[in-house]
Amino acid sequence: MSLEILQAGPQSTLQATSRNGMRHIGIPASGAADPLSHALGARLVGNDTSCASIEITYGPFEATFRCNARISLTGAISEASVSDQPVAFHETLTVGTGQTLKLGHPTAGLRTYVSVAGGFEGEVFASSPSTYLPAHLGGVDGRALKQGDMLAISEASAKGADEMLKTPSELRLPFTNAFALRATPGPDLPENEIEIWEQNFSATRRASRIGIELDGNFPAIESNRNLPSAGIFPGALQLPPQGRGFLLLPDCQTTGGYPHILQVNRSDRHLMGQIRPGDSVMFLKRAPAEAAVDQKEKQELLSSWMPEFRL
Amino acid sequence: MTAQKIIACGDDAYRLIPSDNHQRHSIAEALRSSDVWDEVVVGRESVTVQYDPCETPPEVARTHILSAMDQADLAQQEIGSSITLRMRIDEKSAPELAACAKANGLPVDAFLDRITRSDLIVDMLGFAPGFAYVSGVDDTLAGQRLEHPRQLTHAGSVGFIQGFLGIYALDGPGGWPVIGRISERLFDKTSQDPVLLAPGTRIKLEVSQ
Repeated sequence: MSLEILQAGPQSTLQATSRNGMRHIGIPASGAADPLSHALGARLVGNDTSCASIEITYGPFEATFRCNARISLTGAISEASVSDQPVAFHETLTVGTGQTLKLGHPTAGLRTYVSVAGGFEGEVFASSPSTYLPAHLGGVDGRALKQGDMLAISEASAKGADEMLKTPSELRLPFTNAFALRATPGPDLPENEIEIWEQNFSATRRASRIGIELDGNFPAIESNRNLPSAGIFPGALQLPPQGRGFLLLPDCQTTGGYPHILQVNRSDRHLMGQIRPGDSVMFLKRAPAEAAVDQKEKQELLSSWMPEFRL
Repeated sequence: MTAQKIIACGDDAYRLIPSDNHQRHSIAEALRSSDVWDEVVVGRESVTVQYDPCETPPEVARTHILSAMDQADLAQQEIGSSITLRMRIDEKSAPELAACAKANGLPVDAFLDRITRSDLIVDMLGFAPGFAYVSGVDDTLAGQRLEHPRQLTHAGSVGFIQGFLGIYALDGPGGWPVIGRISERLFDKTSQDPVLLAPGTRIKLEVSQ
């Protein structure tokens, strides 16, 4: 049971859940940059989120199935076809041996997930098959997928093996080229700073699974000397000395010494994986107590469809 | 009370900065005994914790931090294991050793002697998986980062800058002058516990020719 990659686009990797509880030994989270889209994809094919999907960045992507399989497409929506017949996102699809899946460029959003019942087999490192490119860990030899790769597919569990599902419409997030992310002030944001909450920032071309650079007017931070390195997490907006913000994604380092000015809240971090160069980003200010309510509301909405999923 | 400060770092993390920097490791240990935290990360002067505010409201998380600090106060004992690492210093393993010694006006042997006699402890990990910042290095020895970082620093390499050693667990880019290479395996990706060195580990360096 396998899938042959014919075209992998600028960057496609195997991703599943993140690696947790290992940041104190320098091991980053990794995992799907948009974990919600990954989980929705897993749900449609009866997988646990620990099963790896292909995370496609921007496309195009093309691959031929060497077995019959049940698959799903979630995340950034692009033209999609199986054997040149258009197929839909957000529903269980069946493909046969020899059929080719083709994806184009998404018009909005950046990352698309291809999930297969059973999951793609990746090298498991620290309990997760997710790829961490900088240290060549997990996935397929810790690298991005390339033309000619034959990805092995694990045996699917019997549960729900013939279920044909669709993601409930209220859980399908339409992506645009403008993102509003709920956030709380970081420890190094100057007091009484207002402007940062009223601006549209622009994502630059410096965008990867490590982070996204944002252009715009950032506050002047008095000490732009390096602060003592301290634990830092995805969702942090750092302000390096050159004055452009850097929003951290799942492959970010575990500690950092740049001023930490905002933190995108847990409720909205999954959206960061869909920001592409040129998109506009604004931050909506929340107090920590409000953030907890936001998270609970979204969590409850998602739990009705995915009881195990945690933001 | 050991706390100098507890700072919110966004909606789901707190950073505590103890007044006595040496208490970071025992506080981290005390925090780890609770299942409230997703992550407990030791920094240069802080311990940062991450939690799920849906499971643990922020104010409850804060009380957990306070009690962990009390626990660490009571404990007071030295925590962290001790490990002996063998360091090779042949030219290939230690490209900048001679230059570092010379910059300090010392013969190589005397330079290394000062380092191995230092009270070495893993201060924190970061930068890359398993990369250990080791503090306690004789502060009279001067050293700074390379002007041009290397594309490839080999796993096991021991970097040196003033006050610190930096031990590379994996092959990767690096900016520290390299004064030796550890023979022990520092990173095992097949293991559940992949990294040999943890924050608070005491290190004894043995130089092997």
